[in-house]
Amino acid sequence: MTGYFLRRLLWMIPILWLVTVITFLLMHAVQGGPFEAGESKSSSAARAALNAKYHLDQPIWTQYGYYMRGLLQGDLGPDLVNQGSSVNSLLKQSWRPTAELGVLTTIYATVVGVVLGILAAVKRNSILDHLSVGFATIGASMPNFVLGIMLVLLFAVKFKIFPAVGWSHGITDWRPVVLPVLALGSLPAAYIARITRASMLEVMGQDYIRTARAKGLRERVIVMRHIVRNALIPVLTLIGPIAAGLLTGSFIIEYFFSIPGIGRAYVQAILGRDYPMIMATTLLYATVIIVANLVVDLMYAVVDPRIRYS
Amino acid sequence: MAQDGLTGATTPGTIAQPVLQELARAGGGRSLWGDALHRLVQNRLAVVGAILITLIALAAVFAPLISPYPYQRIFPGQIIAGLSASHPFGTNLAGQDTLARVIYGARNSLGVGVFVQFVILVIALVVGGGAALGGKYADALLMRLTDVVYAFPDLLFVILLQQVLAGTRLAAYMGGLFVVFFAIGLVGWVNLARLIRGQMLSLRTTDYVIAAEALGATRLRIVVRHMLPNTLSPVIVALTFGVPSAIFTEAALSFIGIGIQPPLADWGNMIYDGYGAVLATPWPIFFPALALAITFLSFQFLGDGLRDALDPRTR
Repeated sequence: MTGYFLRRLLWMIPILWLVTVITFLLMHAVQGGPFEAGESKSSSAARAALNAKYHLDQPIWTQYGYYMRGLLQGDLGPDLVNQGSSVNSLLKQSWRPTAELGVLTTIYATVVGVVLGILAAVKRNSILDHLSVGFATIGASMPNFVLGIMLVLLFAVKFKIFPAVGWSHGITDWRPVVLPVLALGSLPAAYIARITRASMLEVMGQDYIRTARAKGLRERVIVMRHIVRNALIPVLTLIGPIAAGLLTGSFIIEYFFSIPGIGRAYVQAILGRDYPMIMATTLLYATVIIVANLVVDLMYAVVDPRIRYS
Repeated sequence: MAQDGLTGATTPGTIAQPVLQELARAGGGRSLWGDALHRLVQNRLAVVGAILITLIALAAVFAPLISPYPYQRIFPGQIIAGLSASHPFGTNLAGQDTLARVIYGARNSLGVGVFVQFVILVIALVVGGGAALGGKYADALLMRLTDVVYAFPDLLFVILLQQVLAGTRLAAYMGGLFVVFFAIGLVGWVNLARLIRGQMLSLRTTDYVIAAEALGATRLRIVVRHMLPNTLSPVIVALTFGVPSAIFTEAALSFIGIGIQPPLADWGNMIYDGYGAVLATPWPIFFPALALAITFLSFQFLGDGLRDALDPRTR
């Protein structure tokens, strides 16, 4: 099994390399460059000088060679839109908000989803069940930006409890975090609640639960030790892709709440043809997704002894 | 005597009739698909979903007939007007009728959902089917390709592709919509391709496929006649759930100004547009958001119903 995961780790190298090739070709296929006439105030001589400085006047494979040489030395290249700064320093500033938003949202979605799902299944057909199914249905029926608008109207404009834009500057400054996390996390929370409830109900119908009841175990022990533990296996494996999706897919919410994260920088980079920034973000996110995928497979093997990789 | 009994049973009108009725009552008189349809209509939420989807699709197709105004018509002096008899859903910042734009918006939003699924289905069938049936090397190659596409962050890749395609001749089709559809489809096929491959690989070892092989059926006949129909159920379910997710993606793109551009009406860009006046009036956002939510829930209910109806294990 260790061999299997080592092979998977090694596979990351060719996959990430192909990601660089595809992204490089695609972004250079986008019409226009970072230093186009009309987009900047510089003269044509200055534009030619800039293009030459960043090798943009060379054939594309030469440019790719320059890029890869820098990349292998840990240099993600210059920031073409903000002259004088580098992609490394830009990422250093912007990774935190994105990572914080992703992690907090994953925690929120998991806790709320699992708790609601368990309660709904244990108190099946009660008001609690109907309420949490209702939450799961409504939560899943709105794109996150619509939810964001509603939250801002209610809590920022009407009640003025939380700020409408911005991001926190430390652990005591938690207010700006609340609305983005709610907006981004409610859809996955609803999804996790649905899956948890279905999984709980399935486990509750198993023979070993009847055996546990027949043994005269207390209900609390049956639920916590026998039902929940087994029911959470499929949920656990969902959290990996959900976390990866939240980390890499938060840019609409970053954009909406003006959070200075990577996603927002990426959109600006594409519109400004900032090639090194596009490459860096895609590579970073691709790594996150591949690693999350690998962790899920590892967790499968850990929580379910029947699964053996070879 | 036994001989008489047998001939008696097969004479039409005597014993066969009650037997047939009994079979029909037991649900054995229907085909696989008839049976699934029967189970689907028993599911009330799925029926509601199907009816709503039909209504939205009809509204999209017959938009010019039922819409009170053309979607781009501007009413001077009627900027962000409230709800009234002449503008039941109010008007937007540009003074355009919101009802008309919601109706026309169904064309783009539903069109995105359906067309994207078509692109996804074609790519996933080629890649997933090719991997399952094309031999060891094709399988390895195609599955590594899926791994690479899987590694790309979805929404960001859609934006990049959309920007690439916008510079090609494809941008001229359907007022630029084609590019948006195609970009979303090109990114979203990975899970379906894996599903089709897995399904086909497991079908290849089933008794009836082996039996068909033993009887000398050609490869093509086995694939078309035995494997594709049995792959269909999970694919239909996946495509149904895929429609709202494609609609969300497109709405998100339009929301940040990259998808469908005004004056074309689209639920996503209407929400974006309405946000500019949200402090004055919520209606320009409310109606497109409601339309999105209804469409989404309808497909969700229909998808749940289809999954239960098509999965023989839930009988």
